[in-house]
Amino acid sequence: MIVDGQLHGGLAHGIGQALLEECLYQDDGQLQTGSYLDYTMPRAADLPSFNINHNTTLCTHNPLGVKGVGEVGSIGVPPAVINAVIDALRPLGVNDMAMPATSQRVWQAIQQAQG
Amino acid sequence: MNDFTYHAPTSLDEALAALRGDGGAKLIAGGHSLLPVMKLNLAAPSALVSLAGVPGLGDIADGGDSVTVGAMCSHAQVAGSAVVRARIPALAAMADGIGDAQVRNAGTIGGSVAHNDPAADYPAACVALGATIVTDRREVHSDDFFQGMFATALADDEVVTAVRFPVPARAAYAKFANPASKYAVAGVMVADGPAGVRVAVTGASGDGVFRLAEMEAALGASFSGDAVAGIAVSSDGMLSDTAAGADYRAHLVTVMAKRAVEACG
Repeated sequence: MIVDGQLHGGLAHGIGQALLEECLYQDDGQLQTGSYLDYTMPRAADLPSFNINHNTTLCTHNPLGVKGVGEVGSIGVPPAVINAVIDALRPLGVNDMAMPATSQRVWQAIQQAQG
Repeated sequence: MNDFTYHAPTSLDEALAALRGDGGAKLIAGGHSLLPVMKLNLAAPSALVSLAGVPGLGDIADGGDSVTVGAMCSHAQVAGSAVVRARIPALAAMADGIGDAQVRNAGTIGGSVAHNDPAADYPAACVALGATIVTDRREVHSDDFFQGMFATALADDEVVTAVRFPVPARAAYAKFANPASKYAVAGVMVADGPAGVRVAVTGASGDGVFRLAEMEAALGASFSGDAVAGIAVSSDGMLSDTAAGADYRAHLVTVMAKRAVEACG
């Protein structure tokens, strides 16, 4: 249960980074996304249900054989999500996508690809 | 936040007297627009006059060809009202999509229309449905009530008491919400009502809610999503922020208009 919860949190973190979260600054250095009215923290409704599978191996570097899982989702998810976005957009001529792939950024990439 | 005096009147006359007795006083309903700007010191009223204890502002009445919603009705009350859901389901659905659950249970229709935030949902519903804003002293049609960003026809000491919505034959609201705040980036209400087809847009323009005459004419001739799908909206005067630039907003207005028409069934 704890491990699944940690993975859920890591997945939310990774999906948020890939699709939603961004620190934007004005030219003079003023942070534009300084509150949750502007900075999109992923919420439960922004995420799908997760199907978690474990492939458990003992760590060989410590006597207990334990390892952390909290960052598993946040490391693997951003490239997976961005690759999926590009895969979906490739028929439209889009081959690159910066994070986060917000709706506006996806729209702009389609506009540019279609000239 | 600066110090202020708090008035809790128990009648409309008391509220008006408190408002007139202090030039820096502001009315407060649900507080979901005023309190945030007070916390940021963007507003510093010398007194708050609460409408919470004023009777008669929380009723929803079926008037046959219209529905009248009391100014102090929360968004959740409008969304859950059997009368609104039966007579103007698009209005109930719109109220159900405002902000989040906390906002919907505290924010009020009167507060929303009096504040006239350019990204609020209610102005689009009022204008598309051809609503009349009822105050302590007069009635103002929504076409004349909303006068640009945060500007309305209200006098400084005037209190919104209700909003009366004509019942349309069909209507629907489609919103592209800011993913963080849930405010409308582009919200379009389409209504086919007693005054014909009306299309009102919120969230997109720096001047607040506006109508799209070209789409209204197209829908009058052929009420279908395809009738508006090809009508491009100018990005001149559109808002631009971290969620959406002016060009993207203009694009979204057309998309939301098409979705709203198709949701009318």
